[in-house]
Amino acid sequence: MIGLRAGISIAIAAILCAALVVIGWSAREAVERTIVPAIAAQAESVGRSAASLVENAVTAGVPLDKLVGVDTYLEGLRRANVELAELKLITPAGAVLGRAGAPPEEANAPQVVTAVTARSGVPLASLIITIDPSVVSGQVNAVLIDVAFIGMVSLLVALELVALVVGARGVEALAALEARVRALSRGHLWMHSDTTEASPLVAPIDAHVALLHARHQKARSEAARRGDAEAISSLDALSARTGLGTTHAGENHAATVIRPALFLFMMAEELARPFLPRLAAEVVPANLHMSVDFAISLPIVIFMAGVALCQLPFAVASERLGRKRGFIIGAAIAVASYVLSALTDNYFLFLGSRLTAAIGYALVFVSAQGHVIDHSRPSERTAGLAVFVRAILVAGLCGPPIGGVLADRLGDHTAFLASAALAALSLLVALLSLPRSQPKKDVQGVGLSDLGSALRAPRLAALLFGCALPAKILLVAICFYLVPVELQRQGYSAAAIGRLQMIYPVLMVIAVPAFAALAERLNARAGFVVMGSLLAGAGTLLLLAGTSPAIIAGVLALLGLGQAMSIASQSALVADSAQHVPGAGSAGVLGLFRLIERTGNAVGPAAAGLLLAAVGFASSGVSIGILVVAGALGFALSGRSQPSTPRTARSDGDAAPEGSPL
Amino acid sequence: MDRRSLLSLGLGAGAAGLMGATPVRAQQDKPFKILMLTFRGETDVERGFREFFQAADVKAEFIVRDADRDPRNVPALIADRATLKPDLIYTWGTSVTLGVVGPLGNTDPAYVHNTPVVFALVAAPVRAGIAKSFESSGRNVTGAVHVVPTDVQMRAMQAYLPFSKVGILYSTNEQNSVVIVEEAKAVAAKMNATIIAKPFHNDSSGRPTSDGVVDLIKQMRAEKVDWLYLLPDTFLGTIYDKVTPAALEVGLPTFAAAELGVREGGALVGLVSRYYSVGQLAAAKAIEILVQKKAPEDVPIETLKRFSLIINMRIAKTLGIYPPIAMLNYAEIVTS
Repeated sequence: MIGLRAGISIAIAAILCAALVVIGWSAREAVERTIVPAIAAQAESVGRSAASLVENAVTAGVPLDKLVGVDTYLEGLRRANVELAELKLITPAGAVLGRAGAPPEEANAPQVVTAVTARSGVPLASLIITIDPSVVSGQVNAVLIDVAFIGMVSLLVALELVALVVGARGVEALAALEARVRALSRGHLWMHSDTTEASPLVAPIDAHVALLHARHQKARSEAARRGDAEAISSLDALSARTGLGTTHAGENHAATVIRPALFLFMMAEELARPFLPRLAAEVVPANLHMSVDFAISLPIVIFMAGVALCQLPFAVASERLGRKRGFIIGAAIAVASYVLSALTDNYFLFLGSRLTAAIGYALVFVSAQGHVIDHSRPSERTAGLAVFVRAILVAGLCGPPIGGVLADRLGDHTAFLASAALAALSLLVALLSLPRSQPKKDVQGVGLSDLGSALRAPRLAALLFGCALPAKILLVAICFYLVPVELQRQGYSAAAIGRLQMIYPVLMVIAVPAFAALAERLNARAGFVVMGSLLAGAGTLLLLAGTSPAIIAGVLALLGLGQAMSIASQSALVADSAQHVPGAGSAGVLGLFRLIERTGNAVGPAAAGLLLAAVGFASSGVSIGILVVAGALGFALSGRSQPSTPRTARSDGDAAPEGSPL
Repeated sequence: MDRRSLLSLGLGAGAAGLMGATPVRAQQDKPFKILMLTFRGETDVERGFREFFQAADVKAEFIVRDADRDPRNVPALIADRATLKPDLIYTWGTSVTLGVVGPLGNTDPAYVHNTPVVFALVAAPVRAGIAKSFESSGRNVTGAVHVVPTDVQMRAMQAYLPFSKVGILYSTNEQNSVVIVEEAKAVAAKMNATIIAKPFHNDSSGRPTSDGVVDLIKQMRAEKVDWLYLLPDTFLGTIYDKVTPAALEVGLPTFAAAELGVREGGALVGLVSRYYSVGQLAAAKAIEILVQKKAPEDVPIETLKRFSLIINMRIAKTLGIYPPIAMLNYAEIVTS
């Protein structure tokens, strides 16, 4: 049965999809109405200018049969106007004076004929231009692909923001109603204890159920007073069957509440992915004492390193500040940083703005994560953090294509202002939707000694250094640095780069749950980690065959598939390890895991920048891929000498599969 | 043609300077006195120079004197300058300019040391010893250079008719020509072509002579030269009437580096700084000095940024060598 909220989401999606189909269809109609005549008009104008040039030549005294360079000239026109399949200059007698291109395969291709006439009016020749209709339809399709992408992305954004539109309280009320209706339909008569105050929507149900409970209670105490054992047992059986007399914990909505603000904030950062390297290249000064490729990678390195270093101290700081205040301060820092990034032309100020953006990002991230953990019971954390991670992933999916389009239309600097605006919006949403901060005084963070003792957990070092670290190096190096830099060099737009950058998060969103379930069922977590790493690493070998966008898309797809395969199992293995470390060491394991991953994020672009300067794009990608393969093999071998760790029933929530690089 | 000549102006800086000069001009009570010294009578350069003054609404009185193609006449042209008191002297070409200002560092009072001098049509003012550098002459001189870089010329030649050998005639006593021959050899090497350079014969006094030039051209044809490149060589400029008919006779196309070469000298094609535009650029410099009261050494020497391709269709017909039609989009056609 479809839940109430899911139903509303599906209804919204259906309405939006229908709107998209209508828009797409009318766009196609409009495009065919306007582009085809526009191309014909273009062919006519090309024909007129070419014909008048030939007329000028003849007027200047060049005999028609002595015209020089006609083929070259027509070929130049054809190259400049791809929709023109063939241009041919022929005399009335049929002699060909010049020709470029070839007639299209399609019969009845439209032709535009322009007459070349002498000043006296005598016809000298005809210029026949044949239009290639397949190019026309190709252009129409390209426009439609743009529309479809924008539509799909806005659909995702809309779904993500449903909670924002309905309001957090509205979402909770709907969820509470849904929980009650669903329980009743299954014959469950238990009481519901929600975290929120009772809404008018559910109050009548609760009142009736409470009445039943009271009657049941009364009946049971009456039976007890009478000593009627038969009545008591049948009342208890009823209670066991229907849940009468028990209270059921409600669903937790901590993640739902923070999701819109977090999503908007993450989108702000993701917008910059496709054009950040290009913008960095613009501001790199000429006289810098380092290779340009490394200088371009440095803004990404600094951001990732900033996030990595701030993570642990900020976990404590955000708890002391309170989650809401932490989120808001972080978002404010990020807004200021994006504005600075947008306005400065100075490379070092740009680097500085990326560092402060990282500080803001880290504070927002840990505050949001802390909010979910604070407001959920341990049993609910996995689900809560999964919602949280999905928001980040969807932001990673929507941000790059939108950012690419913005950068292409408005310029890279202005696109950064869009990031600032989104971050400011998320600040506002957080201000309105998050619960009041409850700062805590005595907060213990994860200490360095905890990290050290964590390393002694069985097989953990091999997992972290063999798989977790190389996986992040590969992801950030390929997806955020090497691919955009290479595609820019090949002349592709930021929008096209943004679209390719969607491949990874799309596969993660789709494949992570499936692979996680499969790994559980087959009891083969380590195997999935190794296989996934091998797949992602070996995928880079495709680059040896070429660096066309299709091949790069293949590499990104294998990367997404491989990491989707390994990431959930990897988190579960880490959580298993954590349970075998006593005391604070358990938190230390998780802290170490995140620290190692984020170190990989920072090392990735730095290594790629240095490699790119030294060995070029394909070799850089392949080298990092080989590192990943080697790490995975190392982890696999480490398992042969040690007994595998006993598996726990369910991984701890704190190590929820995290698809985002951050 | 008007649009093309506008495009070829390259006068942005000069024109911008004029805008700020309006109030000064309003106070101009008497016209500036400009002494114009030409080498072979008035050309389009002088027309461009005068008309730029007119367009800028700067009043000037022009006193024109001609050296009649002999640099030895120059001292006589400036003998009365103490009484004439010109505000500025305009000079045409390297030899007249050198005759007026003398070589750099020469303090001979026979030369003009204080009155500002603006030249036009000097190919290489630094090499000729007229100026210290293009940024600043270091003395009372500035002006407009008219040469089109050698590599640009050779590429235009290649676009009209691909070559593997290019012939050049030059005067050994003109250092400028010797340098251009070397440049042409370097450019040709990059294009996998060779330069056949032949100097003019010299007479008993060591000056180049047109004797034997027809034979030199016939020799080049025999050596399978594809183009005859007419450099901005001062002596060559005086014997176009002997050179181009001889080339035409043996079916050799000629490419001129100076406007006169293709307009009146009978060359097939030329990539040139238009004389009229060079005159305008020189006038812009003169106005900077006269109206804005800038010192000549503070006004940089400049060349035009855009050039004009001129094709002589009469010669093209005679040779049967027509331009690629795409060239007609930007070339100017002459039929003289």
